[in-house]
Amino acid sequence: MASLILSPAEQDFIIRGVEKGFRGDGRGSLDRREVTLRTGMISQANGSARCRIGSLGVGTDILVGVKAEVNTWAAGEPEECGTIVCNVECSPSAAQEFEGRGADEINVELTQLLDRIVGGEQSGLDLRKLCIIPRQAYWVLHIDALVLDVKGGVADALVWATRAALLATKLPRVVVESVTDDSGVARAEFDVVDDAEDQMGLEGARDLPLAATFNQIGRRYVVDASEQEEAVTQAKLTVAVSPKMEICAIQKGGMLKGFAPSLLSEITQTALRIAKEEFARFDALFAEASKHNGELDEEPSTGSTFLEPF
Amino acid sequence: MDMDDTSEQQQVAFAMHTFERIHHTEFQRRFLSQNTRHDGRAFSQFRATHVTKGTVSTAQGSSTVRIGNTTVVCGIKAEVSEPDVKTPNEGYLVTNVELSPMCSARFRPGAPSDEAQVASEHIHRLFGKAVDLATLCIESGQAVWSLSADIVCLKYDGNILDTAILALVAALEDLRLPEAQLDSATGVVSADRTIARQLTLRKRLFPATFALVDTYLVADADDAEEQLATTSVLVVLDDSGRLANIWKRGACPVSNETIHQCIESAVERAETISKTL
Amino acid sequence: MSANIFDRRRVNGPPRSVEPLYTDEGDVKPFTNGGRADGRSLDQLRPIFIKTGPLAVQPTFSPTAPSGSAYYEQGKIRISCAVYGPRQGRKSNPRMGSFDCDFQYAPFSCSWKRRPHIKGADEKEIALILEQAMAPAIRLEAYPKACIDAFVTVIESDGKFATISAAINCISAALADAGIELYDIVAACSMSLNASQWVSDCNQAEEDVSQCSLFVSRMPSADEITYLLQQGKTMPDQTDRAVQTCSNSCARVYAVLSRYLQASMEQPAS
Repeated sequence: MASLILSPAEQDFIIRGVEKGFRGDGRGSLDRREVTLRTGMISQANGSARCRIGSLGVGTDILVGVKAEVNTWAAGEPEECGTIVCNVECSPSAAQEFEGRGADEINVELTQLLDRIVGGEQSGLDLRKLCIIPRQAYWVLHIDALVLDVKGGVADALVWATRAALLATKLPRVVVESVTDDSGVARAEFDVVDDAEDQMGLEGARDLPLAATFNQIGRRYVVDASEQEEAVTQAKLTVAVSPKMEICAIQKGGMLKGFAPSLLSEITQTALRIAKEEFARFDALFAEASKHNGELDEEPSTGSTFLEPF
Repeated sequence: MDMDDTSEQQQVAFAMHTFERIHHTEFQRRFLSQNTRHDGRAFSQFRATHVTKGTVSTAQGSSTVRIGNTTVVCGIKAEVSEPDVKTPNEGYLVTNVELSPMCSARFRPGAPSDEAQVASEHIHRLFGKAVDLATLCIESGQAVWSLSADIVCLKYDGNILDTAILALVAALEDLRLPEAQLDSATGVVSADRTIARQLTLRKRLFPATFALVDTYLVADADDAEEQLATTSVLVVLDDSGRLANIWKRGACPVSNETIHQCIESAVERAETISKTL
Repeated sequence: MSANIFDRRRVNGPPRSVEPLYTDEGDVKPFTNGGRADGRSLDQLRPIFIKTGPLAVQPTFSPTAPSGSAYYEQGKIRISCAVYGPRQGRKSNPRMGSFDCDFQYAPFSCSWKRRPHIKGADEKEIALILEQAMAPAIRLEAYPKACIDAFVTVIESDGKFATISAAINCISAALADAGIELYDIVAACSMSLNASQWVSDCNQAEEDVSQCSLFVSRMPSADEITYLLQQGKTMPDQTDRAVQTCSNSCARVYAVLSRYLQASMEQPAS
């Protein structure tokens, strides 16, 4: 991760502050920063979302686009399911070290993390509904995430943005009919209905998880670390929780230290406790974002519609 | 003269390992000039060779070969593909040698080094005739077996070619190919692992590598000797005693006698290994 | 047909190849009648074998030999690891040394399709996981400006999470063999959830049918969990229980590791 270089005095300040329950921006140890969510800004994608977690208009900024494609089934692939393919890329605009091949490592890390959380059955999405004709054709959802800015807490913002994008994804309806060809063999054929109004959402998207990252600083831990707090983090744990209060994935990060086992169970309990508030907050933001979906199209004259009202 | 004497005495006063590091050639010469080698072997003596077949259960054919400290694992994976248009009845045997930083600090991580590329290419060509590729055909012009033989070096102490060739021969003998059928309607090849046949090698190959260190011809050079060798000769015999391959590498010329010597030693070596294999 | 990447530095096969469809029963079904196919109990680990130092008997002093190496077997899992260092590093940090890990599967190591030579994203991620799991155990402050490199090759894999745990154990043994200063050896163990029961040390067949897998790596003396990875859904109390059980399994693996390392020290220097 792009990490700041802090002086020992500054590091000490942050660590002691966290141990006493104070954070640099005045938040409580379990408080998340301001979250801004927008959906539907990429018209060519089946679903898109942009999430910024940070204060005063600056923060970790992630853009996620979901594109659906029809794939022909090949031997060896699952016969009655669709698939999800994730890809995360960090743009060099986020940090200088992401230039050229510098972002390779973190790209792999985030892609695998995202794949672990949303890339299969454990995401809550009903992959069987993505099958068009068994053993013949299925939908593949390409989830492409672009990290535009890094100010701490990338994993969380990534999962928030992906959840929003998948909830906002609309797949065109597919009509399957049986066609008998000349030799009398009945085959199934499908047709994609090209109607912008006649689209369906993803089955099971409401069950998608949200992630929270707990950073251990000193002997305490905080949620949603800022850049400075991440620089003094010894170890962190990302926990993904579903709306049904199930734990979907846990992954530890950080090279300097491990966790005491008691701290681990405390963190998973806390993750579940704050999950309710997180989902409520997300739902409110998402509802607000969905409302604005159509409005922007009517105001092309206001410049930088992509940025405003971000 | 006096200065030479004192410098000689100073050299002798080094600990053996230090002397080896600083004066590689001189160190080896001390042994070679006494008609022995630094690990006590005779010039024509090969290191202890161990061959084990069937060591990797995830591969269709596998083997582990150890010559001295050089250890190599060969695994063969069988897959199905379309044959080349020019040879519709022939399958593929693709061999690759992997020399990773794990086996020696000599190799860097990333793309295969020169040594690995050269070894892969040579062994691939060597085995091109060893297996009858027509036996790999499933359905002429449509489906053939493609055998990927990957030779992974675990420890490198010289003489990778001998070890790799032996490993590949053993792995090919260990290979069990399931009976396969092509369903022409769907284009899918199905196979039954319970009915598996062995692959018949046209010929088994017995390699022997010799290196010219200074002016001494030594068999099976280890890493220390290999680094100082100016030339090396690989002799490969098949099981009928005929010469399958002879390859001289290096900038120094070799005399006819030396080549004859190599071939004679290789014949002895072939007899010894054929019992191990 | 899946495409094979053309690599001009290697001998290439046909441009496309695929595994045939195996029509036989294949391996025995993993969980039958409540028991495991190989007869182990639910919390029984596969037998572990470790050999540190050169694989062959004759010792040779070689400047290009690794500082430490280990060969690890757990059931059918076979892993080889070599550690170089401390040696001059690319990143020169005056306060701490750096630890880098390189992980790769041999092309024939997985029970399904042959792996291409080019490193996949999962191999790169596992390398990062291994670094994060092992780094807390190494006294990097003792090696400023130096770097310690570990190279891991999986010769045979049997269960993804079990292989990662085995790789961690293997690197621990190799680091100890290299004489690198460690706070403690790291021991790791994996579990999978099948029909609401946690099963320890699952092989590939068992992992494939499980709904959740996790592994824990632990430093028992410091009582610290250096890595935890869970994939799949569980109820929260299930995760707690799993971490507990897995930590106990790690202690057992630790005992085995210690015994082997002790035995290798007591042998005449090789």
